[in-house]
Amino acid sequence: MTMTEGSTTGSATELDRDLFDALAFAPPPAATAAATQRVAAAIVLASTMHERRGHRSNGFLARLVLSIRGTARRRRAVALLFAVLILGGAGRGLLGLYEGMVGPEGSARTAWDRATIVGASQTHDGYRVTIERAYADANVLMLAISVHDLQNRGWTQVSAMGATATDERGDSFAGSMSMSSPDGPSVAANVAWFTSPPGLTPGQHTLSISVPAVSVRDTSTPPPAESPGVATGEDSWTPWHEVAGPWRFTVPLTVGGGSMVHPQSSASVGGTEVRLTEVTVSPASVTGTIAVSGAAGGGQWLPVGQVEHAGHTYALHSGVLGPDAAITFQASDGTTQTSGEWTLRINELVGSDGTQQVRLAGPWVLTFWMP
Amino acid sequence: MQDAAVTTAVPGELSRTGDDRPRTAETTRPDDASPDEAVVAAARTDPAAFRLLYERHWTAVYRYLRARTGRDADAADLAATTFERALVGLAGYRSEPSGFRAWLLRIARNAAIDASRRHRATEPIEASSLIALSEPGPEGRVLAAERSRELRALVAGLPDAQRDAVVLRYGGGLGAREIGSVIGKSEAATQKLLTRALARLKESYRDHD
Repeated sequence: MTMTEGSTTGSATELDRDLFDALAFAPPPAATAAATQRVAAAIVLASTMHERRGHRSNGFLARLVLSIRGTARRRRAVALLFAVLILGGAGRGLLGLYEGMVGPEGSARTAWDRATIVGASQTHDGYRVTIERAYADANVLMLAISVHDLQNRGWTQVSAMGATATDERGDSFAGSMSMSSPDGPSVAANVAWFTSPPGLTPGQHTLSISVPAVSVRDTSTPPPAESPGVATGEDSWTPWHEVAGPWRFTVPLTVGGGSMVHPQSSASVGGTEVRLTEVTVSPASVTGTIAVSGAAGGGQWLPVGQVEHAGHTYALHSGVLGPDAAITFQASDGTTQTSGEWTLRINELVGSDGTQQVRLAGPWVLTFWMP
Repeated sequence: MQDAAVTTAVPGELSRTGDDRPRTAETTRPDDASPDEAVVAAARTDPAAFRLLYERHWTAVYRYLRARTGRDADAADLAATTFERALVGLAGYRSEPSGFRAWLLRIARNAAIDASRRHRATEPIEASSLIALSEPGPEGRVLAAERSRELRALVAGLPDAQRDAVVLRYGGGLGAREIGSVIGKSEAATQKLLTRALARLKESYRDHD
């Protein structure tokens, strides 16, 4: 720090250190999770309102997100929570990068630990794309995909984040999240995360996976602001460019199971009723569908809360608004120990009146049983 | 998905590793404030990019509010409110020398002031924590915890403006110029405020040794 006058003695340095220590409050995980859900819901609603106003973003992030949304629209649902992530950590080796990306616990860790090692590679235009691992159950599909610029063309970074996947029926896995982490300028580890299509049965399946393009980052061309005469607006400038593929794969995969129930339980708070119509618990996630009725102002609502079972808490981390005001939520992890009583605890419903965010305080507590 | 554990970034521009410092994928630039501005620009056209700002500044905002309110739940609630307001008000943010974090903490400060007006009972910075100094445990840990409690109580006893400056400095991680932009004072006036606060704390702290 830059100390102020009269504070350069050893005692002041010690005071500095002690003050930093004294005020270094660690946010409790539960409080952080609740706040994160609120902010995530706000981001989702801001994205929706932004799009309703006809705004379009020109960046790589926006293009990918919009392509995800386009897929969702074709399914007559609007995926509202997503993330596209690029991680740091060059030089750690691909396995280390994947380990870091999936983290120590949660859905991604469960999927990674249970994944099948695939190791299928395709090379096109000097870019080798490899499906390293794959995992699927009744709720989610995870793909670990590495990309390598074999000609080392001098890009500063590469990534492969727009993968698509279908089962042998032709049903699509809906994309919701991609992550990419570079291992030097020519290699990257990527993790793609999908929602399984309805009716995906446990057992052996054959997935068709396509990586439509590889993205490369080129910083040799400066932004328009630094390039006199470049006509494009600053918002449209990006150092990322796409190299068209596709890289296609046929991947045999054993799909894990999941248990589904239709509880039809409901709870009301302040005249707003939440009805829980469907829950699917799989090893890597818990998903469910709720319907909200009676809320002032109508509109669509996203739940902030958690699912609880056998002493474990699974935070809700995403919501999808579907037709007929149905809301599909997804929790942060799953379990194979499904049997017994479960609780869905919705602390808040977050919606919009068309111009600003509206929050309804709960809790709505709904119990249900899994076989 | 393990949302909280992963790192979020605008593709190709930024990433965050274990600490709070911004990095590019190729180089580390811990003191460069410009990455925030790039993400703010991205978030204006794609609100999803706001997530990076949240992950980068959450801890600082929480610590500042935790120090002001004295309660975990109040701090987390106000921190979430801060980011919600920031997201809504992002279009009105103009790049300023004090940076995005100072702008955020200004919103946090206003949110805390609003809340304290609604709930007068809020107790700042554990003012009564000197009472509980005798908990068992390894000597070093107990002494460190004791020092921290003592300091928090001393900070709580500072005049409002000095207390705010100290909390913004040591909880929010701001420098004098940034603190000044939050509390509406010049950098020089803020330096003097911090100097007086630290001198007062040093004297009281020494008295307790």
